[in-house]
Amino acid sequence: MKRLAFYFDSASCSGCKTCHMACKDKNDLGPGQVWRRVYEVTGGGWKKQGTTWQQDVFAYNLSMSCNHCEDPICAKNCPTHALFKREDGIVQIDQNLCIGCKYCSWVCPYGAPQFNPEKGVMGKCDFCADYIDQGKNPGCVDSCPMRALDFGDHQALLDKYGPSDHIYPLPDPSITEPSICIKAHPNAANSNPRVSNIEEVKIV
Amino acid sequence: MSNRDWSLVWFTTLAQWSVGIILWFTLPALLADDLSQVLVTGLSVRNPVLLALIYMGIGTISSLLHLGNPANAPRALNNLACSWLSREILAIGVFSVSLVLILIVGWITGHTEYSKYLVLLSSFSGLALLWMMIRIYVMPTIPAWNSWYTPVSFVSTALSLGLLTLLSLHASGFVNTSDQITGYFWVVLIVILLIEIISGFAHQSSLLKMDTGMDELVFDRGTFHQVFLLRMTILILACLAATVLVFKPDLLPGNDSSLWVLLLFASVIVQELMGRLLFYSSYFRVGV
Repeated sequence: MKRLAFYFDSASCSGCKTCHMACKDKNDLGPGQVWRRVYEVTGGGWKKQGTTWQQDVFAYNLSMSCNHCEDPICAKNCPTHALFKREDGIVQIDQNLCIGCKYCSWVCPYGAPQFNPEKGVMGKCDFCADYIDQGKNPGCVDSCPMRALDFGDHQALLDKYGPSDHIYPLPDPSITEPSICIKAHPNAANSNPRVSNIEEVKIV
Repeated sequence: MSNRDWSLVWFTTLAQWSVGIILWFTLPALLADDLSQVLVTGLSVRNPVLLALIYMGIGTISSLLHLGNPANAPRALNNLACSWLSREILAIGVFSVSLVLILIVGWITGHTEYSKYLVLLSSFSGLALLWMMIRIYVMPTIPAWNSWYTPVSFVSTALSLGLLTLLSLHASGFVNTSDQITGYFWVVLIVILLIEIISGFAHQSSLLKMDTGMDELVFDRGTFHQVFLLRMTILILACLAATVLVFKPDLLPGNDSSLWVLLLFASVIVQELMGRLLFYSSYFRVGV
């Protein structure tokens, strides 16, 4: 079975949010629907070193959508089978089956399934499956001016870019085995990171 | 917490109450091999099966209000292999149908030997429902729910409300139970309320150690903390009142203890609803 995955280079991302807007545009998403979001992570401060004060202020971005997990907790717990995994590893939702119980959005640690109040059902990133089926790239990948996003088979991405880094604010990958390969920003290891644009990326 | 989550507060509380009624009425009756208090016919508050069915029915209707697309609700049985939600719906169905069958059999033919098996079915399906409700909420991605407190609070809701229903009906003269057994039941109720008090404080203490990552979700101040304190105050007062009712009833003003039992019942219902409201309000998940 193929395992399609996203690659994200946090060191290259400028935080322009073009991927975010391309996703909204392609999927015709209204306010509050953010299938791909850019988290602005900031932290650091002043530290006393000897008789002087030095700052270690840092910032980096994290573009995140559904990670089409190998062990998708959303699909496993969906009572109607509306969420399912395709042969190529894409976790998709059949809105005709969805009852809008929102349980998938409760349990997904990546905030991927989101409730659409107009339709009364859940929606989520489907890797632009229609584009994939036509041999095209996902909208977010093609829109990135920094080429910080890529996609492909998970193993092929690991071979190409090296092992994936685990950065804040991502959860422990052992929970769902996300199909994501991340190149961390050099500052990602710094202390006291916080998401500074929480209002922008908060899922309602 | 959104308005739609209120429907889950009502659903889980009423469903657990319903299971609690069946357990407290049937298990002692089955042990004594005397189901006369359970297999009551007619539209009466004496009929515990009817009471349980009404609570379950209201709870189920309330749960539908939580859905964005209730028309698809029958599809919720599609994933019995993996989803605890699907299994919960199945357990609700089996539990409710067993209650309906008990009522129909009693109404048409009068209760027969078969009614005993239906009572057993309702008890076991009720226990299964309780277990499945617990499993739905114990999720590794939701730290506040992925704890020992979830099963303790769900089971204690079922046991306290079910037992208080029995004791209130006894105090009002609708149910005949021996004074000795009723005395034991009161002691059990006090123990359940004590467990709720201790577990409530212990869980609050564990919540305070969690980093929710959200400024608006704090457990040590604001509305959450105020509701928690109010709930605990009601719970402690209810526990004290139950203790006085059992061991020093003379201390209570008035001659009618049934009024005090009903007041105690009402206060326990209120604190259970507050506890469930706090449970849903404590939701936050790991990750982004």
